[in-house]
Amino acid sequence: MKRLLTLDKSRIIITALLLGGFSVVGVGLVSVTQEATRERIAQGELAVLRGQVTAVLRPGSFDNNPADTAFLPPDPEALNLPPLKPEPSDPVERLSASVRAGIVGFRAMKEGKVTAVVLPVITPYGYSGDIKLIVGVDREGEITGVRVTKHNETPGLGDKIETAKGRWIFGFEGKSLDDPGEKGWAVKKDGGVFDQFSGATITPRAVVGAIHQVLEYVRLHHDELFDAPHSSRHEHDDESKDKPEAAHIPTEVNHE
Amino acid sequence: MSDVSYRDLAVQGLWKNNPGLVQILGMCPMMAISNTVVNSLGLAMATILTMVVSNGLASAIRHWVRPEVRLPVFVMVVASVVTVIELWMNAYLNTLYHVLGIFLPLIVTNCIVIARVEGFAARNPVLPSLYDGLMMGLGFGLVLVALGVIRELLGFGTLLANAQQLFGPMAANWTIHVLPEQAHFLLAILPPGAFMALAILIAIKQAIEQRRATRLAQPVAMELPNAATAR
Repeated sequence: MKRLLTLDKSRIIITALLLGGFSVVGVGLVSVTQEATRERIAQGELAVLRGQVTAVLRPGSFDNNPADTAFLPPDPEALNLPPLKPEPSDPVERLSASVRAGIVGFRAMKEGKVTAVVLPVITPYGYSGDIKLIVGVDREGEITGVRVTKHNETPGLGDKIETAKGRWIFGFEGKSLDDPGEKGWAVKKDGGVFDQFSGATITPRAVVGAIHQVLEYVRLHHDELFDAPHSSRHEHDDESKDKPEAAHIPTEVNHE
Repeated sequence: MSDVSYRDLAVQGLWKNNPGLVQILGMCPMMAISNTVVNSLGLAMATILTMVVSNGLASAIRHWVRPEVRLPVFVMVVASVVTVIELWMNAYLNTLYHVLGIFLPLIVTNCIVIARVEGFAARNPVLPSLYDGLMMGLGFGLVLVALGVIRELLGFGTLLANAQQLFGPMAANWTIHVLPEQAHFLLAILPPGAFMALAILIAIKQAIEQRRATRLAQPVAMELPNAATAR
């Protein structure tokens, strides 16, 4: 009896050690791979981000790397950007988590001056779920480009908002709040100037609305976005007083 | 147990006991990812690789693993292999990695992987196990790609669209346009299309088997689950 018991015990221990040993090997294998691929994965993610950001900017309108200028847009609710769920208290971490979540803006600079901003916007009015866009807007309030970064629209109908499926999204380039004007910012069915697709009105309507929302946002926050980039970068250091700081640097450069 | 015939393994994996058409295992990724040929190919390759490597590793360690902890150890092997493949794809096939999304890590839960590891690799030498993983993976992958061909052709009217995601920039113009845009059958790329296409594939397989059976003038001995899916 006693013998059997000790035998069982040693068996249990050996089995446990075995299981433990294999998990160590497994974890080791994964961490070695992770270490080996980390650099490349980070580069890949950065390249994707850079590609997306520069795609909505006019070529030659910047001499910086816009993907490095990530900032948290003031008043994110106005762009329907959701707050980070567990919000990191560390500002650096908070910014990089926000970059991953796609809720940051970017600035295109030329000779130290902001020439255009790239802003994310989310519209809840898609046919199936949220549509996420990034919109480039220049200093004069003209759209430099729009891309859909995430959507769940019906393949074959609503997905013509993707550049891979159609050229529709390019139709916004050069448009602004004055062109086509307040009434024009709608799909043709609603009396606006933008085409809907045959069989899909809801998706284009949502996208047109979201882009219009960005233009109004840019008009409202023009100074913070274009003329106080450095102060708004400091905002992340102490978030309690974000807007006042941007407000007392109204250098009011003659930008128009 | 060196009496395994490689020919038999191939027949089992590719036809007689095909994971997709007969065992009906791993349906979740099969249905979700098979909307284009390139997506299908990507997931098929990842699954085949997982099956070969997991089968090989499981077979290599089969003498050391005690029966009590066999399953957890094998699950760990499969999970490690899939994680390594996932990291590697993220690094080198970034766009495809994003297309496959959650279905890449979910290969861990694909029952066909653990079924072969537990059912075959655990009691066979390394070489047949590698071969079995390859054949079963190919059987799964071929069905996946066949579904991808049917659905992309009917739904988008193309074949091999976005091939650059898998084969690099030189594949950017591999897309073959077959049908004009007016002839696209939207349902094919929506989830119901996956079920219908799979049903058609299963029906075709059954029809071929049945014809062969009658030709050989043998009594038709269909197993029950097959008869149920044959309609």
